[in-house]
Amino acid sequence: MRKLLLVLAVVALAATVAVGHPKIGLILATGGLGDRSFNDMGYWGAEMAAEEIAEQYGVSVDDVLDYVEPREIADYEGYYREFARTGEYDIIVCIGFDHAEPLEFTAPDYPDQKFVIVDDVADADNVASVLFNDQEAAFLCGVVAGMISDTGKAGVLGGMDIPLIRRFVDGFTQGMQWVDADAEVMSRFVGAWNDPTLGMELSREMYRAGADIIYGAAGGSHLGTFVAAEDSADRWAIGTDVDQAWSVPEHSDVIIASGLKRVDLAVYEEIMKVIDGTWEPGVIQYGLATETRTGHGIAFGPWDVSEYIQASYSTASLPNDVVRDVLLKLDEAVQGILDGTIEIEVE
Amino acid sequence: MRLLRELGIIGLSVSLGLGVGAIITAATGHSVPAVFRELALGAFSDVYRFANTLMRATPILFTSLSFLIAFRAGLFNIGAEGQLFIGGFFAAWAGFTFSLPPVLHLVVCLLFGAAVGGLWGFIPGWLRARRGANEFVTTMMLSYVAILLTQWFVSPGGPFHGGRMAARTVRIESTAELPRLLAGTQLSWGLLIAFIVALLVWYFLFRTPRGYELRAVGQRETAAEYGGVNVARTQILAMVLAGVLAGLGGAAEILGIHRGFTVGFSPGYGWDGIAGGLIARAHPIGAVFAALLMGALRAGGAGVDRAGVAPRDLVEVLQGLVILFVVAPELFRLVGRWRLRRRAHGRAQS
Repeated sequence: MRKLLLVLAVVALAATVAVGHPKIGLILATGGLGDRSFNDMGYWGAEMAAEEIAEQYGVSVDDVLDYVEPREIADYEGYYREFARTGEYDIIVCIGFDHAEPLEFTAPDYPDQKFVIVDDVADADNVASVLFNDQEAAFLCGVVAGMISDTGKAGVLGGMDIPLIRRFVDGFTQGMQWVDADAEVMSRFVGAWNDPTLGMELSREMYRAGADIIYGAAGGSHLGTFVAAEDSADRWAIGTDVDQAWSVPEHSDVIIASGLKRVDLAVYEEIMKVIDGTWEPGVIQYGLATETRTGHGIAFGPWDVSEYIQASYSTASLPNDVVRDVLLKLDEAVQGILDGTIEIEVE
Repeated sequence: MRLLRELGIIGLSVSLGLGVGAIITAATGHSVPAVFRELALGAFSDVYRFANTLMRATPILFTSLSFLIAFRAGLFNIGAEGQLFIGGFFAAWAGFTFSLPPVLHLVVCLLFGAAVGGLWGFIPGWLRARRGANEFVTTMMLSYVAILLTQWFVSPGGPFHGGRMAARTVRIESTAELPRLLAGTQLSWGLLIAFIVALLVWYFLFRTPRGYELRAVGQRETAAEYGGVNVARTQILAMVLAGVLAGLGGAAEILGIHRGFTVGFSPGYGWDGIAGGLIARAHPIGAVFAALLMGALRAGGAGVDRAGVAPRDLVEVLQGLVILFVVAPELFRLVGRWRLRRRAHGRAQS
């Protein structure tokens, strides 16, 4: 009996030692790493948090962060269970809106497991759903368009005519008109996220109708916008989610700016909240005008101005004084959004 | 005795496939013991993992049966993937459209999936029997029709999009859900349905006159016709049944696992069925074991990926090699027989 107790004590001790450092489980979307967009950013955020945790506990990043790249949506639920059933992970982060429904019906099976989903809401008691105020980045892009455009006309290429993309159109239009009240914004919808050819045709149509800047909010489809912009020297394009002058370097000469969706910061913050003990489930809105005050911004020009306005890899040839003027205007817009003097109206 | 020999050949083929896989693993600079360890652990290490293997084997059993029943009639059903998709979609449709009492609703949904899958088999069956259209081509093309049609149905802007971000329908009613067999796993009652269906297919093929006719047509069309079998009708029947089986598989997958139709719910189970049916030597009971093998490879592959000891692509090479080695002898035999038959058929007609 005493022997048994001793064994139990040793096992218990070993268990507490093993539980020493926090662990992060990261489940990416089907695109996987290397997309220079959503998945990569999600990974950077988790890696950033893991580095901090690893340093604090004197372990390696690999000990802290385990990640998987599902190849099919069919794999998602298996990965939640695979991570959650061990009980080892302090937080399981799921990148991308595809996760919403499978997570919604799997999460309740593991009530003590904390989950985070990025970009849609999964309605369960132990899930934090991260959403972004997309209209804010769109507004900043509109400001750039208003400052740069010679014709006073710009276009938005949307992937689909859905509320999400309407927020981009509304934000962009209001941003451009905040600079130039007479500015005119046209919009076209591709109907698909992966049709750059049609994206190119629709972009050419808008350029020919007088737009000299087009804002792409169509996923892979607005790669066609960049191609169309190359047709003529006075055409510009604006990218989305990451600095596309970096992710699509062959068109960095026409991509003057990119609206940023800081998935990396959101993932980092959600993980650190768990470590600090301040994590809570529910919907968490990331954006300038929210409590978190992060998660959005713009990449423009060659200098970092603030954490919202970042240096871009763009190689567009704009005169220095123009860049400076735009940066000043952007800063003014950000301050306006922060103090509430600018309110972006969306449907 | 014959069974023992077949099992021996299969065992040898699996080992050969894994052996060549091991060489490639080592050549690409990955640890062979680590990869094989994770492959085995991923498929068998505990109840959860084994449930994973069975969960992956379930749709493969359906599609293997689909392939082999057409094959027994001398036809190639290459379109199980599409039949799986269209069956899965209409099962989901019945699941969120109708409001019915618990068990009845589930049965109706399964029947819907089976029926529409059957329709997807009927078209190439009819074209083959009445118009002589090569079913190889028609089933394959109809497969793309089904996959892309359902994709459009549920994408944003499509008529059955669930209204959220992902390309999915709304969730099916809880009365239409196929319950999980083991709590905390993805394994559903679909496994038992698949197993019972395998027995039914065996009974049909080997214990009923219709099944006998079907096999007779597959062995020698002209002889069967001479013997009084309606060849055209039998061929159509075989293709309809093939579609029904794959459609049922899609229905079980959607109702049991995804609870709503979602784009990309099948990682190629329909194609796996071709290999499964061939590994099984076109025998329904053999298909149970073939599906188990393929399910274990898929579940184990996910384990390798998760452990990070080798990239997913390498695992797929391994899976492909095993399947190739197991199927290869049978494939040569089959293609040879098929060509002989076609030639005989051609001579008979001229």
